[in-house]
Order: sequence, then C-alpha cells, then structure tokens
Amino acid sequence: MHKKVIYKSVLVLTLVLSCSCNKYLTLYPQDGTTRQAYWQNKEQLQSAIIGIYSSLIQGTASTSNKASSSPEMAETLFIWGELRADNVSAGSNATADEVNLMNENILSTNVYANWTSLYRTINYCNNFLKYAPDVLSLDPTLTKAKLDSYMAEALGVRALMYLYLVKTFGDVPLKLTPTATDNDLVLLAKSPQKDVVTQILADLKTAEGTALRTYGDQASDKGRITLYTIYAIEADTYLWTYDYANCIAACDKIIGSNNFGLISGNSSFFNTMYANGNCNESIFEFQYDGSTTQVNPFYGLTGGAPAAQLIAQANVIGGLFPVDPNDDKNVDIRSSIAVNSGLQAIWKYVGTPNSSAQLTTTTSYRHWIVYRYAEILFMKAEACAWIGGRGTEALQIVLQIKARANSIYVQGLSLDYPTDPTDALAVTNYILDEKNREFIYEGKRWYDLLRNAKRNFPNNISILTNALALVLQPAFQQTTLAKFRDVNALYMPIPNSDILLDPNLVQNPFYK
Amino acid sequence: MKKSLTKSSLIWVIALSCAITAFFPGCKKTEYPLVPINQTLNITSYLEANPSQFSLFDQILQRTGYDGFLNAYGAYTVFAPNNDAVNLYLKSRGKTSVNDINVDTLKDLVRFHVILGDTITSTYFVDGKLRSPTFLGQYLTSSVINDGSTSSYYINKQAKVLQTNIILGNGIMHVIDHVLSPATQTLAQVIDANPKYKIFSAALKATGFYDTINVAANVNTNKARNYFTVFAQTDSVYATMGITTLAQLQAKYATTTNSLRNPADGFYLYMSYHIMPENSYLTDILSKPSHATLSPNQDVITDVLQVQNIQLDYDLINGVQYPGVSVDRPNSNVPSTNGVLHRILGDLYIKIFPPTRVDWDLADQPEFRKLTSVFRRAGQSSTALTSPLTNMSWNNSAGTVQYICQSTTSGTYYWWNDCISLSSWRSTPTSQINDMTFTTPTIIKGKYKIWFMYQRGSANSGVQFFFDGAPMQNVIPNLNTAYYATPADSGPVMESKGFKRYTEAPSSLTFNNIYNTNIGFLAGVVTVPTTDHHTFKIVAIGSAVAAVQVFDMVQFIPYDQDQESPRYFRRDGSIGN
Repeated sequence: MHKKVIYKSVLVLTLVLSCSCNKYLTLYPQDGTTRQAYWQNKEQLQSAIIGIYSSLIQGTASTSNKASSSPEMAETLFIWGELRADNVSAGSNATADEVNLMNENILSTNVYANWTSLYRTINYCNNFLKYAPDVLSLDPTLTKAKLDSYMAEALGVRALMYLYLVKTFGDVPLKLTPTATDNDLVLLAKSPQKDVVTQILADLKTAEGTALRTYGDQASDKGRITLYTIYAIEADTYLWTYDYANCIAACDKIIGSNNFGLISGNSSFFNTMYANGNCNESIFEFQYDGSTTQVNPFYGLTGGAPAAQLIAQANVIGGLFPVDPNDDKNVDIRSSIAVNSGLQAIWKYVGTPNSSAQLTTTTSYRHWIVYRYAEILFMKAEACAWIGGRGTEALQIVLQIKARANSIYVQGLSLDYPTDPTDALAVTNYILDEKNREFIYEGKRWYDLLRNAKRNFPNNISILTNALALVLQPAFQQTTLAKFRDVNALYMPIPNSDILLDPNLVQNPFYK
Repeated sequence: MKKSLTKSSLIWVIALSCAITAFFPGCKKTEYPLVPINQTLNITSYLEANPSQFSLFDQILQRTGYDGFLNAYGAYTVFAPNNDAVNLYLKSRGKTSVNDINVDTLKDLVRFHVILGDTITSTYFVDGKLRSPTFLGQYLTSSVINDGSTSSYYINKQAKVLQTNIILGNGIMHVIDHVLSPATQTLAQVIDANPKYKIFSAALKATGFYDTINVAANVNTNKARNYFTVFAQTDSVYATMGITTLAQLQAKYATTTNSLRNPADGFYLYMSYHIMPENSYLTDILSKPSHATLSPNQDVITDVLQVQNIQLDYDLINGVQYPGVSVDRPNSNVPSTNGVLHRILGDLYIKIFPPTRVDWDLADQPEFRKLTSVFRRAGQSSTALTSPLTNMSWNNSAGTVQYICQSTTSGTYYWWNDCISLSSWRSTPTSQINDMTFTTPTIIKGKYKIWFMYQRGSANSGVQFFFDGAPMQNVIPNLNTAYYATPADSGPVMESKGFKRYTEAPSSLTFNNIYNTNIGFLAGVVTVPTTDHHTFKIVAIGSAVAAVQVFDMVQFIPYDQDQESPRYFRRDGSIGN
C-alpha cells in the first residue's frame, strides 16, 4: 500500500518534473522583445522606423567622447567631412587622432577610421526591410501603402549610410540582410564602389515610388525621409558618379516641387536655420532635442573655446570671408555664424553670432543638417558646369546664393567671376568657393574637394592640393601632397578592428 | 583477514575521498587569474619567423653579431630590407652570398638601418629627416613619392617602404625594397662633384670654406660645429646675373683687395652667408624663422613658407618688402657625411643697412589685424585672447589680453588710438600675467635705446625688461608712481631722467592728468646682434595689486640719434614734430 503510494507519488513527481523541464529550458528574455513576439502590428512598425532615426543620434555625448571606441554618427560625419579639408585647425585640446587626420597621417587604428555607427543603422534598416512585410498578413489594419512608405524610409536611410561609406572608404562591404543571430554573421569582402552605388540607386528608385511627400507636420518632414530626401540622396549619388543629366533631373524634382526655398538672409537667419532648425530650407536633419541622451557631439568637439579640441583655421576669417575694407558693417551673414573671430572658435554649433556666449554640454543640441535646399542648388550648379552649355545657369545659381548671404567681394582676396562660362573648371572653382562659405562646418567640404579632385584623376587634383597646401603643417606638406597623387589615398583605411575579425576584408592598398 | 579487511576499507575510504574530492572541487572551481603572455615577437625572432621575406637580412644580422641586441629589450626602429632588396644589393656588388661581403661593411650597413632608442611610426615620416639619427650617426630622410599611380613612403629617396608599422616586442619595423646606403661624400665633395656648381665650388675653395665643410662629421674634432647646411647657387643662376667666372663673382662682392680669406672682405662674407652651422633639412629650416650663418658678423638667413614655396630672406625692412630667393625643393635635401645641401634659385646676399629706428605698435599683432571691424576702428575692442598669439605669449593661460581702440572722445592719447590691455599685471593668482614675451619686428643690427610706452596703471607693481633674454639696465619699479608730473620740464631734462613724452596730450598742470600719465620710459641700451626678429620680454616685479594694465608701443632708436624726434605719435597714426 505504502509502496503504491510511493510509486504513484514518484510517478506524479516525475511527470511534474519532466513537464516543467520543457518550460524550464525555454527562457524568454525578461527585458526585451524577441523577433517572434515583435513584428505583429503597424504600431510596432512605426516604432521600428522611429528607432532607425533614433539610431542616427544614438550615443552619449560628452566632452571626452574620444575615449569611446565608436564615436556617434554626427561626430563621425563632421570629422570625415571637415578634418581632412581646409577649414579646421587643431585646438589646444585636440587629440592625436584628430591631428593625424588633419596631416593625412591616417592609420587604420585611428579612432575615426570607424564605421560602426553607420553599419549599426544599416542593420536596423536591414531588419526592418526583412521582417516588416510579414506584418501585412498579421495586422489587417496595416495598408500596403503605409507599409511601402515605411519601407521607403528604411531604404532611404540605408542608401544614405552607404553613400557616406562609399564617399569615405571607397569600396565597402555591402550587407543587405539583417544580422539578428550568430548564424547571420558572415565574413563579407568589400564590394566595388560602383556595385554599392548601383545598390544605392536601386534602393532609391524603389523608395521613390512609395515615399511620402509629407507627414503632416514640419518636424517629421525634416526629421524623416520624405520623397524629397530620396531625390536629394539621388542627386548627391549621381553627382558623385558624374552622371550630370540624372543629377540635374533629381535636383529639378525638388526645385520644381516648390516645397522648399532659400530662407531670407536677414537677422533671424541664424536662429531660423541653425538655432531652431527644421526651417523651410531644410530637407533632412538629425534632430537632437536636448533631452539627456539627445545632445549633439559638437560641444565636445568645438565647444569650450579657447580650450577647444577643434578651432577655425586662421584664414577662414579674413581669407574665406574677406572683410569689406570700406564698410565693416557690410558683412557676409554667414561669417559670424561660422567663426567667432576673437576666440577663433568654430561657432556654428556652440555659439551665437556676434556674441561670446557659448552653449554648454547640456544645451548643445542644434540639429545636424544632412541636406538643405541650398545644397540642391549647388549640386545642380556643379552638374550644369560639366554637362556642357549650361555654365551660365550654374553661375546664376551661385549669384543667387551670394545675394542671399551678402557675400563680400574684395579685390585680390575673392575669386573673380569666371569670364568664360564654358570653362567647366573655372566655373567649378567659383561654385566650390561659394559652397565652402555656405556650408562651412556642415561636413561637406572634404567630399566636395574629393569629388572634384578625382574627376578625370589626376588631372584635377590641384583643386584639392591647392586648398590644402596652405593649411598643412610645413613638415608634412610635401609628403601629403604627394600622397594625394594616389587615388587610394583619398579614401580612409578600413578599420583595423574589422580587418582583424574578417579575413575576407582587404585593406585599401595605400595603407600598407 | 583483518589485514585484507583493513585494506578493503582503506580502498573504500580512498575511493570515497576520491569521489568526494572529485565531486566537491568540481562544484567550486578555483579561478586563477590568467596571466597575459605577450605573444609579440622581438625583431630578430620576427625575421627568423618570416624567412621567405627576411632570411638574408637575418643572415646579415647573424654575421655581424647584431642579431643579439635586436632580440633583446629595447626600443628600436628597423628598416628591414626584404630578400629581394638584399639580392639586389649583392648583385650590385657582384656577390652571390652575404658571406662574401666584408663584416665591417655589413656592420655599417646594419647600423644605417637601425635607429636606437626611438620607435618611429609612419605618422612621423615628415618631409625631411627622421627625428633620431641611425646607429651609424647619419640621419635618414623620409618622403612620399608617386610612381604614376601609387604613392608610397620612401626612405632616403633610395628605398620604397613596402610595409609600415610592424609593431614588435622591442621596437617597430618597416619593410623596404632596397638596401639603404649612407652618404660617403662630404658636403664639399658633393658640391664639387656636381658640374652645375662650378663657380660656387671654386668660390668655396677660394675663400677657404671648402676645407671647412670637407670634414666628415664623425671625424671632426670640433663637435660643436661638425654639421653644416649649404645653400648653393648653380652656374645658371650666376649666368642670369651676368657672372660666368669666379673672378666676376669676386669682383661683384669683394670690398678689399686683400686676401680672399679676409673675414672682413665682402666676398668672404658673401660665401659665409651661404653656410649654416647646423644639420637642417628643409623641414628643419621651416621650423625656425631665422638661422645663423658662418658669417663672422652674425648675419642670419630668414625663411618663410609661401604656400608650397620656401622663400629665404623675404624681409620687411624699413617698410620695404625684399623678395628674397626661393629654394629649389626637388634639388634640395641632398645628404652628405657632414650635413645637407640645398639649391636656391636666386642670389642670396647680405643686405647691409645702417641701424634704423623701429616704432613698434604693440597692438599691431596679426591676430588683431585680422579683426578688421575692430582693428584701428575708434571705439572698438576685441574679445579677450589667451596666450599664445603669433608674436606674443604670456605665462598664465588664464590671463587674457584685449585689443582696445579708444573712441575719439575718450580723452586718451595712444598712438593709433589703440593699445593692448592686460586682464591683470601681477595681481590675483588665477589670472595674473607675470611675464610677457614679444617677437619684435625685424631690427637691423646695431646699438639702440629702447623706449617703452605705457599708461600709468593703478597697480603698484613694476616692470623689468629683457632683450633676447638679457636683463636691461632700467626697471619701472611701480607702474602707479612712475609717471611724469612736472609739465615744466623740457624734453632734454626729462630724457636725462629716463622719460619722454610721445603723445599730443594737451599740457596740464593738473596732477594725474592724461598728459602726464602716457609716458615713454627708457628701458636701456642694447646691442642688437643680428638683423632679425628678436624677443622682447617684460617681467612683473614688485607688489601685487589686482589691476588692468595697458601698454601702447615700443621704440628702438639708434643710440646716437635724436631720441626725441619725431616728437608726436598721434591718435590718427601719423608721426611728426
């Protein structure tokens, strides 16, 4: 009897235990969502898309973010776009890696030879592009049009990321599938630049069909990918590959939409464009909002003058922005936005024009403007200069920008109006000179120099070398200019950490 | 029986304890910290581990006995020629094996490929000599050369760097494609061997400088002067001056009929002005604004970088801009056993001027000039700047200097209406400026009186003056009390007391009127040794009271000239009596 009871209880116990085994071994994370539980309804899609935009400003900004091995994206884009060019000098707190970038002494271990933040966002996009379409069958309230517009946003962000990568590194690994588990890890080789560009353009063409023109409010229209952002990335990509007809076509779609315009160059120009952000001229911005995790990295880079990491190159004021010798009140509105001449500080992100007041670590949250209407005009101008027969049109665009900003002409210091509008190189120099003033410290300069230097390489390399000869340290001037005669030297080295992890990744041959 | 029982129980006990020990320690595994072992090889081991690339260089090391120290603790930079490079070297000498070459030759060879005590990564490959000399004593140079498509680092313009920055346990290694060969000729021999320098070489011989620069540095007994830098002029440069023979060159510059080796003769001075007692590649030239030459009169060569062009003696003297000569960069940086040879594209000669007065507005600094909406615009002032400026620096990074251009109605009387205003001159410790160093404009060599123009301050501290680091005769003991309140005194009387007036401030008998407080103070007499920029330093002395202090200008007036004329330095910048 007792035995029976014992047997029964043992049996029951065994059953109970063996049942619980199953459950015991299948553990779901307590603090996260699994893929199976996610991707169920349209609200989650919305969250995922906003998550992609959040990843653009992900990272904790601090005054010493150099210690982190992967700088946040806006910092990376600023450094890539400005340090190798001619408008930034090393301040008293500059790091060795920053100085090495300025002197073109770039090793693959440089903290800015790092693409982590971009590939992270690409992975978010890849996840979205793979799993979002399944939601259509799970959530009947999700329309195909809504899904497609989300897809267009993810494609647009991914294209933008790859465009930056291509412009900075040349050939890069092209990853179009999500990395969600260890099984998804693949050891990719580099794809040739032109294949990546083909993919960028294909994605943009797809997105063009379904991207929204507006989300109904200004903040979303400037902070999310719209159809016009897609066109802007397209124009940028076409110009990068010297496809002028398509570049002009893409620019004309934005210009013809009449949704954008140059804001007026009056006393509120600075506030409207930079301090407040999301103005009518803007097309796409990284929207920092000032909450603790959403301050931008620029205080760390350019703030704290006179002890800043990066300061304005000495010739920016007086050279690039000449001062009217007859009337010092007659000023280019962009000059005091760009630089505080007393402190020689880069002022666009941390300062206020004609004031020595600076933002602080917690109040530094001006937006990072990726594209604005003025750049579309410049892209069109450059394409017009080279397509043949439209040089005058290109110059008209430059004059339009000059007039808005009250660009100062000083004989001997300023570039003269090209006498021959069919001389593409002269027109281009005139465009670049003005574009430098308009977009100073907005992460454009290096790519502008690079794009023009590698056109018919090495015939036009002087565009780059002339700009840099003045600002390079004398000890490195000749070596650096000789380096630029190698087209591979124009691109950054593949990050050393990735070379170590991925045997299929081959270093750029210049960085041997 | 009992024994076996004991045995079996013993076995049980052992088995049990084994089981227990096997079980329990397994539960609680003792974690020993991992001691990281550096797997990085040292230099010789690395060469041995890569015989396909470095077996021959490794053989050389073994034959010379240098393999030992390159595998020991240290910090070395090694330029390792790969096997192809060594084979090329052997072939050029008609040898088939490393063993066929003299050990001493090989020792020199290795010593020229190794830098001791310094690890130089490619980020320090400047446009000239590497920062430390080789074990052999000669410096290596680095450059970047483009071969049509690819750009690479070159060492000594002899060998291409195939792989950079191999970080090893005791140093850093770069792989090169040719064996480096040290210079074997002296500077004199290098110049003599070049048919383009016929006249220059003959002139060196005629003046005796040929022998001076014909001694290899390592055998020179005068260790303080064993390296030289020569700026040589080609015959074609002389041809453009209408000079085709040594006699014509001599006729152009000689000032006496005495021996050519007379140090007072113009021709001797001319040649001495082409030689500098230093080992300076072009980047080293650019690192300093002026360089002493062998000229017995201490004449200096100045240099400036104009975009990519190096211009020598581009000087602004007495308001005249002298163009100077440019350096032929591709044909310069030629190494030798005792220095470097550069080529210049024009005639480099000593400019001879009598001592000339310099009226130096301290507020005329490049940083302030750039502020065109402020600079010399009445009523404007700059933001406070911190040290250093291009031509000004001070000891305290918290101390600031502001440029002030007074309004026309301010009642002050500065030259050009402007002055520099110091946040505090020897006051509260946080922002006090205790000393300030200025780089002067070019001053022609000679004997000068130096006048220091300032406004009476409210601080009780004073000023001591230094010229080129040497203290001057007079000090202002107290900027608050050192002013001149006796309007009746004539100029010569004031001058005898070490003061002078220099402004147009209206005469007044009122104590502490502006007339009396803007004053020039005789800092002393100096002999300016070279026609060059010099340093002028002011150091705070005396008690400490927090106050702003304002300085206006400095005058260098030849000591034998009238110290009071021109009398007025006006607010509109004009000067007159």
